Amino acid sequence: METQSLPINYLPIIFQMLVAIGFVVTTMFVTHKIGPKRKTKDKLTPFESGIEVVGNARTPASIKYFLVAILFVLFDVEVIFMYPWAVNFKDMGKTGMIEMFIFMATLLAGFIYVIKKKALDWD
Amino acid sequence: MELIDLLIKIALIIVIFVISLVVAMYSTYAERKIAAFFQDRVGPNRAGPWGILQPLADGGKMFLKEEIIPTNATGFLFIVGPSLAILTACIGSAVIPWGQNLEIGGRVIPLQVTDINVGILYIFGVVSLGVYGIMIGGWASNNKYSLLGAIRAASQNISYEISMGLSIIALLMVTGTLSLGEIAKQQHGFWADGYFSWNVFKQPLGFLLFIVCAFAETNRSPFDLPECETELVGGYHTEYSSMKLGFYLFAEYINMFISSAVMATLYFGGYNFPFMDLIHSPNLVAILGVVALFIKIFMFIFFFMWVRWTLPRFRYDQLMDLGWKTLIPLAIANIVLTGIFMTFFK
Amino acid sequence: MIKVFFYLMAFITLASALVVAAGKNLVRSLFMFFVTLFGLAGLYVLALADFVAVTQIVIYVGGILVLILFAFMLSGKEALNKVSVQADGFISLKNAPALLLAGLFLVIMFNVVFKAQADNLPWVQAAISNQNIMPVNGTGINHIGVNLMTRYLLPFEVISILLMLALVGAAHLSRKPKEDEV
Repeated sequence: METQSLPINYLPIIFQMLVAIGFVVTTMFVTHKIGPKRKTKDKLTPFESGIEVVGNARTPASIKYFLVAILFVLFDVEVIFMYPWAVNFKDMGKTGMIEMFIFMATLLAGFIYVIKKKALDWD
Repeated sequence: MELIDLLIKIALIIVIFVISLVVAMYSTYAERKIAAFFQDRVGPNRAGPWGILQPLADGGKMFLKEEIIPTNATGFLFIVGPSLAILTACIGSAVIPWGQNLEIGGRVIPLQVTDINVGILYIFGVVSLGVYGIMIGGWASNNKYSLLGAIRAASQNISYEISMGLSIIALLMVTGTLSLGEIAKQQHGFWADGYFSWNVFKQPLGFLLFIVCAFAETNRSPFDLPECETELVGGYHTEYSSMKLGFYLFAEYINMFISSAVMATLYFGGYNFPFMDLIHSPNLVAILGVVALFIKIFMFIFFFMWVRWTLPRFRYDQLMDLGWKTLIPLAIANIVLTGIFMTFFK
Repeated sequence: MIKVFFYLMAFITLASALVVAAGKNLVRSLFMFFVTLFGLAGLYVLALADFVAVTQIVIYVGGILVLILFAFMLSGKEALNKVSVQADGFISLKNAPALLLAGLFLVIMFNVVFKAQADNLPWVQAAISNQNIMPVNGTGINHIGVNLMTRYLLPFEVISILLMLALVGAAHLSRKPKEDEV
């Protein structure tokens, strides 16, 4: 393979980030400076469909969302492990395939358990 | 790297940056025109001929509006949120090959900012950063609608990221490389060795999964639950005004542009077009390739809009069920089928 | 040139990590952790491990940190106030176990660094004699894939079991208690 990734190849990415950051910061600053400022107390209260604010917005939310995040991290790790295998798939042939299928089957068993436990049901 | 190469790179980066901003701006115009067409209206037609200056007017208005930071909001993060949203939208374009190498005066100019050999993973990483802008902005607003919208949006994004990663894996098994430049090269022309060379014909199911995930990741209808106005007012950007709101809206259109470009590159041959071997001038091929890529991108953007004005929105439990119980098993089945097919039938 | 970048990245990583550990404001700590992870990714790139660098971004920034943020966002204001107000300073009785652990770890690290001969590590020597090395211009991911599927197959499959256990555990923890169990 003739493509090679040296640190220098990542330099343009840093440039691109700098360009983007420059754009964002300038725009933010300019709009902050030129926009009108007529602040009133009512204008600065959080929007709540026209009524007085009730309680605090930062209240505990359903654990379901957190479970989704945990499952996401686990599957993310799995997906990352599959990348090096997928890239070499053609060279490794049948053995590699069977090895990966065992890996996937184990995880699939866990996934089926999660679904059977109805952990992902939204009601 | 020589100085002149460096300058060319910087020029290319700035050109691509400006192009993505302009495309995003005119996508808003196109969206309104297309919506108008679908609903039998005329759409914007006052600013300039056919309303062609409308995006400029919109942008100017966003720029000049009063910026409001609610007293209860966490000030610093309130500003960081939209900045991160647009930053992550803007850096994704770095690894996309926009065309073949140009040759001017003996100097080879690659039309790709950088061809790192983990290109797809880079895109995947940038996509996974997309959730930050929404989450930080929604939390910092200190508003019930914003927080709920942000949590919903974040859960949706991370759920569909998994199917996206899995559908890419099946594609990698076919291509055998992570570099986007290499993948675009492999899909040369349109017909090779008795079969279509574009990946969409080798991975039809994978493409379908990918485009569904792309819709969900860009928060486009029918997956636009984070900002569904019937339940959540404006979703995570309820409290935002002036250019900060503009950044959120803009980020959505830039994301749409970038994901269209990624889909065109991964599955629809990128800059390749049929009968490209019949043209002998390499520079002409390169330029026509860029045109071909942009035509594909605009087709995808049109498709995004077509779907938005055709399909109604999902309910939240339907959305989660689709992501976890349909797309992930399908994506795994796609990998298994691809593996078996490639091992035993080739 | 590369050296300048190395020191820059190392400085960013260390400085932000220090803020994460010593900062009293939870939100700022989280934000600085974001920076730390990016600095680390930069260091990996400089060490020619670009796959590891991107993996670091995808898993830690895109996964773990999102999880932490979720935990942060989903807890109510009262719970957050309790966490974010740490009346006592960096060194106090409450932090004693953490300090002890960190100190012990530091001792071990120093031991490892000084005892090991970095130029003559046995596993590095073994890898070189087996030709299992990656040329500077090679593609890391192919190498990782081949080694993962041959030499390190057993750990690889063990990881899948570990992940499965985590899946089962997560599902078990978040289950709804049945009516008769309560």
